[in-house]
Amino acid sequence: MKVNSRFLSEDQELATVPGALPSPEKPFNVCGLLAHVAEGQMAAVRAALDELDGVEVHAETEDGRLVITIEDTDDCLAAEMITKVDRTPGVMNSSLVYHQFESQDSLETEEVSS
Amino acid sequence: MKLTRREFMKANAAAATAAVAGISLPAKTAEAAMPNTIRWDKGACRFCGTGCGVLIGTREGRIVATQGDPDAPVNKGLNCIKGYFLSKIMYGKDRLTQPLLRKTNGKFDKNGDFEPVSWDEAFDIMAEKWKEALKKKGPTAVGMFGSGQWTIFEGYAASKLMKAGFRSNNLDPNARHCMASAVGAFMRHFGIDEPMGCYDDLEHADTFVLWGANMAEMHPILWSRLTNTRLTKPGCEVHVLSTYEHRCFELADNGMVFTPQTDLAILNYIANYIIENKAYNEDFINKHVNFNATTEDIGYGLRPEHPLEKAAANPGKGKFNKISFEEYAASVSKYTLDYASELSGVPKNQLVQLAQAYADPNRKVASYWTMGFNQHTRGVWVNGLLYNVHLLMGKISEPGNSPFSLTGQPSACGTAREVGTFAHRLPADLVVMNEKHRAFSEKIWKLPEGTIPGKPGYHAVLQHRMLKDGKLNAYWVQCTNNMQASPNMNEESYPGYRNPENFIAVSDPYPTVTALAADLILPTAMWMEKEGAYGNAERRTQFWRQQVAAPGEAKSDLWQVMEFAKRFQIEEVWPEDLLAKMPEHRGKTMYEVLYENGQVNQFPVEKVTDHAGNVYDNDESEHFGYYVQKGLFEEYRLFNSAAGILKKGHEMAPFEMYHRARGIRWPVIDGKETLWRFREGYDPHVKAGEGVTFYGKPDGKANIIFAPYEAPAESPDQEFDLWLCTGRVLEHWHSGSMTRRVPELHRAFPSAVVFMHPADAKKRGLRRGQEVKVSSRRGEIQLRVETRGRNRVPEGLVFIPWFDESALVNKLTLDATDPLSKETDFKKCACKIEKA
Repeated sequence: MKVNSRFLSEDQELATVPGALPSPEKPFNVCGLLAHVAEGQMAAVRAALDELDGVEVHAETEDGRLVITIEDTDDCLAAEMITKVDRTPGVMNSSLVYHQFESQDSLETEEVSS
Repeated sequence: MKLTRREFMKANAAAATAAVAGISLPAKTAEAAMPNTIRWDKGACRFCGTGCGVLIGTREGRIVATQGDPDAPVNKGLNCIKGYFLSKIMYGKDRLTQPLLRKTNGKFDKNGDFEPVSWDEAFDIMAEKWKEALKKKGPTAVGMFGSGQWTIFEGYAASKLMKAGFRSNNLDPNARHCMASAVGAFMRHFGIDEPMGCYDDLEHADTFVLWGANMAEMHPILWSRLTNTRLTKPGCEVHVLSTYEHRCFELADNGMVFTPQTDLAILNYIANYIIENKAYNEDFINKHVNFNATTEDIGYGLRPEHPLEKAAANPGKGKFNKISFEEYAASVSKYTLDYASELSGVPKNQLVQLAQAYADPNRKVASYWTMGFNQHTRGVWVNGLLYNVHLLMGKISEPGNSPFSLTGQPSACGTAREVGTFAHRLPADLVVMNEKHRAFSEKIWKLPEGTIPGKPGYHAVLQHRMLKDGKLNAYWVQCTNNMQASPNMNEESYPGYRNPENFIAVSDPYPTVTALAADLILPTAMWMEKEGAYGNAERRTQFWRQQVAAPGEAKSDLWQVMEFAKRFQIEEVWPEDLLAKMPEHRGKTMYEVLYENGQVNQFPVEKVTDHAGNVYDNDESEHFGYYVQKGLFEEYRLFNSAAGILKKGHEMAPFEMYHRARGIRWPVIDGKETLWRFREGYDPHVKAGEGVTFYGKPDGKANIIFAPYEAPAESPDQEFDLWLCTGRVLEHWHSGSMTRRVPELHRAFPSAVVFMHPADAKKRGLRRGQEVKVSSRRGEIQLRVETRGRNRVPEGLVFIPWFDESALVNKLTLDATDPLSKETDFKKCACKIEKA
């Protein structure tokens, strides 16, 4: 049997491409992130975050932490945006608190009452 | 008020995040975040040994959301960036749902292609191969490789299957690659496994020292607690030691890059500094410490015919002898500031600053380490040299003074170590070499005397050597990707799996490199698809309920182990003289002897509910007809509670308590957990007036053990002129078998790169992003050069992460191990780099 680097016979390669969901629907991700901002950097950090698509700051704590949500946009997945937020100058540390994903189709149609 | 699903999700995310920050949101957002159709239940993260609590959100039989558990003491509602998309790890496109067997023309053929088969057919051929191996060569021809990612129940069931059922000690976990050196040092220095302190030290210490641990990327939640203390506590300091600069250096007050292996010399220098300045805690060492020196020149755990083993005076010897304090002081006196600085390449002023932090009686010091210490040909020694420093100062077993071994896997402690899945171990720190320990275990398991063999089995690296040599022939791997994880894949692992004399079965949720190198693949139910329990690095045992069903025919490792045991009549695995001692076992299956023994099967199936009244499935209990997990746990607990227990200090709470709690730290006495061990007032095993008792040792004293600096097994030379260090990256956990199946994570870091110093790249005419060939004496791989980014390596050293199955770095690594712990040194070998 001829095997490739994954020890599969060569025609099996395509069956095991990593990183895809079984559903043909595109998932939509929303994350809640808590970021610790260095003293004196709050204004600069908030201004930088304002520039980022799909990023919204919901609240600021007295000890310098920001409550942020991040959602998928056409250009950038939430996962990549988390890294961008984390690497923003003035952000000392960030922690993911919440993550949810849904199929994209259901987003605008399905209504939820509260 | 009506909201779209998108707005609703966002409101939920904001509300959960704000709650963790301890603030409330403007009314409109808060109002939106009302309970909806998602069912939430507590769980433990699937990844590292930190053991964060996560809330699992399920809707219509599928996990759709996760959040940090605000009630979990470990992470207090936070979740690390690696934990992102935890909910997606079960839903990769290539999830295995049927057993697969290599076949040609409808029959098993080791060189055939994988074809779907039934569980019956899978177990038929597997049992046939096991019986054949047992018949031909006896119990040492069968073996199993398990995992620090197994649940406690699974590890315990497997330990019984192998050690009592098959009577083979050839059971070892992947924790051998990760924690064995830490275990070795705990046993030598304290006589009992696992850290004396806990994560609460992160808020109590004045000084933090990282020895070969990239906490910022590998233990981000603990790092966020450490960061918080550093930023809010006046005078708090952070020292970071590594063989290259990583993200922790950004917070470091004293960041030190040292030449590989010279941590041994640095630690002896610190001990020397403490003694020369008479800073040691004389009262503490007089009362609580014995001084010793270890056997030197012990080789590198290679095959016995390797020149390095032949050259060693005492290969594999761990013996240490008592010495006086003066002799100890004389031994470390060679490690002067000049010598340590010259050897390590760390500037003198920085070494002094580090030594002062330990020597200052008024500073509380917490030391953390992971693979930099453990994956080291002198791993047990280097762990021990750090204990020496803490013990000299008496800075141990109290809030903030804490030498703390961090863990890489979610249950390396709870499963691999505590229930005894190592080749030499039995539950609760008992060992197979000790006759009393075996007899006690046999009594608890209701087995005849002499069931458990007294010789340690093959450890991880030895298993691959024995597969290659044809001595281990029937082999089962569960819950780990060991072909990718083990060293020297080209010369040992792969030839071992493909040896025509051997039959290899691999249980995994995904077609990993290991699964695809096997003969039979068994599809596994993972994580929240089963009821489970993990034990984290701070002795915290955590349970979760089964949240969803597994896809297709996938079954949990627990189901597989117990079901496989049904395939053997006890007469087929035990000799007549053993059976004659307990004739009541005659005619039974191995399953009946091990699991229907009146203990494991004593609890009827229960309706599993949470405090809100939600009802959960338990597929194993449903199948076997009794509460399997409870029975296994309660039997395991006998090792800590039965009359005449041999080692106190591992006491666990009753099963039910864990389903209600956010984890409990053992020893659990009278329903109360223990935060700091060995010290009066914190540990109920230490009586009033004793102060400190290291009760793992018969005389209640801990050991200081001198060990010298000895050179690494392989260093760069003219031809292979670079150090090769392997490790992980933030986005991927271990071999990537789960994280690479999350599209976002895969996209964020799709392929391994070689991190290289710009000057080293320039010297070789290479530019960033270029494809290169990295080779060692054992193999070669191709990947791209990275000269920037998160890891800044010094000249002469390169770093390659091991998550990428298309660039298997373990084709290059050397299978040199610590001769005492048998753990591989994945951090040091020699390689060269050329244009591809």
